[in-house]
Amino acid sequence: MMNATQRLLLALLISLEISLTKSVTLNIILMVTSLIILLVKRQSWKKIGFYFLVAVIPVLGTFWSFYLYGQGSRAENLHFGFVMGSRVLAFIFMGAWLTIGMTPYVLLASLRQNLKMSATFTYGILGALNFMPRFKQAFASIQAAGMMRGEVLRWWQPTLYFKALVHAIKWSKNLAMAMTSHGFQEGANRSAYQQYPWSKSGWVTMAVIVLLIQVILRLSTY
Amino acid sequence: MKQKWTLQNVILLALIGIIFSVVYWIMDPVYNLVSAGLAAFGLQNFANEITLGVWMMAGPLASYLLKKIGAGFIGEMLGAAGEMFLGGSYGVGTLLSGFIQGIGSELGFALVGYKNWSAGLWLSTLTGTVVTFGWDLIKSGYAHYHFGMLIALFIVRYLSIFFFAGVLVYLITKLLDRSKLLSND
Repeated sequence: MMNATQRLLLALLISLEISLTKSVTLNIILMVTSLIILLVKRQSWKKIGFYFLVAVIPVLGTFWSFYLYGQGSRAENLHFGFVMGSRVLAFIFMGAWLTIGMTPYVLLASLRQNLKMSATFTYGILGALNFMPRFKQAFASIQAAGMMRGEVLRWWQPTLYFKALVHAIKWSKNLAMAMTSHGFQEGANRSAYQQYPWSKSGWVTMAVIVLLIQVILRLSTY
Repeated sequence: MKQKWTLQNVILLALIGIIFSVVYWIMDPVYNLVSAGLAAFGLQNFANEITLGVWMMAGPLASYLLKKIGAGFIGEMLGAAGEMFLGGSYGVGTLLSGFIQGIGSELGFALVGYKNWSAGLWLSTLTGTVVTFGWDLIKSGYAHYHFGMLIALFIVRYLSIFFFAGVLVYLITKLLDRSKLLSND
């Protein structure tokens, strides 16, 4: 099976390919395949429904825009509208495939082991991810503090970002100090408890999928 | 300018990425609403141009704050990856867009040799526009539009990026400069 890095590479490769080609057939096949994987992996209907919900407007909007405002014959515009609409669908469901069962932790650990990403980046980013819930609190308190002065802070105001960044700067200093004091050493050699080696079967899977995509592109006429 | 990335630099960069991944993710439904409104007139693509600037804020901000080669690119990529993990409207496509947008912003700072960071910031709005527009010509089939439409799309996109990734980022950095929080390493 593919490891996290291989999955990421495959997803990037495919999304690049469908960005540069115009095959409705391929897009639909990719979307359906991803959907089947989601179903096989027993993702909840609610989650799958969420992805469909997210897709509706961008898909219809993109289709409509190119259908009406394209430069070409009606049939060409119709085809192009379908290409762009189905591409969004393929993106969303491939994104779902990529993110289920792959936590940021696994991805980062795999990137470090497979692509020699530095430990400073791996663990720095991992550490930072733990602040996700604290940002929520921070935003709430920033807004409350603003309200006390009779200011409503909105997302387009620099003050809001400034205050969030002040927190970020403070946290980054504290966390770096905490990690260093717990023995994290920049540039030091590390061993890994969980191993994510490149797997041969993963490369084979990737090659087969990429090859299949070329075949589909060759055969499909629409 | 010190080129070595310290642990604190990386954490700050990641936190910037996280802040903006949330902003990007919140913007997805906003974008969809705007595009639904404009789609009624078949002008859905203008929704993309009007809002694009918001999705390009992380890069220039990260470059300006960290003053390091690659900060803008990595910051934008982190924002995009976070958006995908949160479940954004464009799935894997976000990573690809983040990659292109990151390169676009980074280019502005690179062209001034990573020396004059304010000039780099303003230049990055232009390079960001050109690079992302070029990519959309290939990817989003902009070549299918009439020439007049293309000019209009380009101008709207530049204004959006200029405002969000330029003016707004500049105001944020000015507040931070005044706070002197960034002066000590």
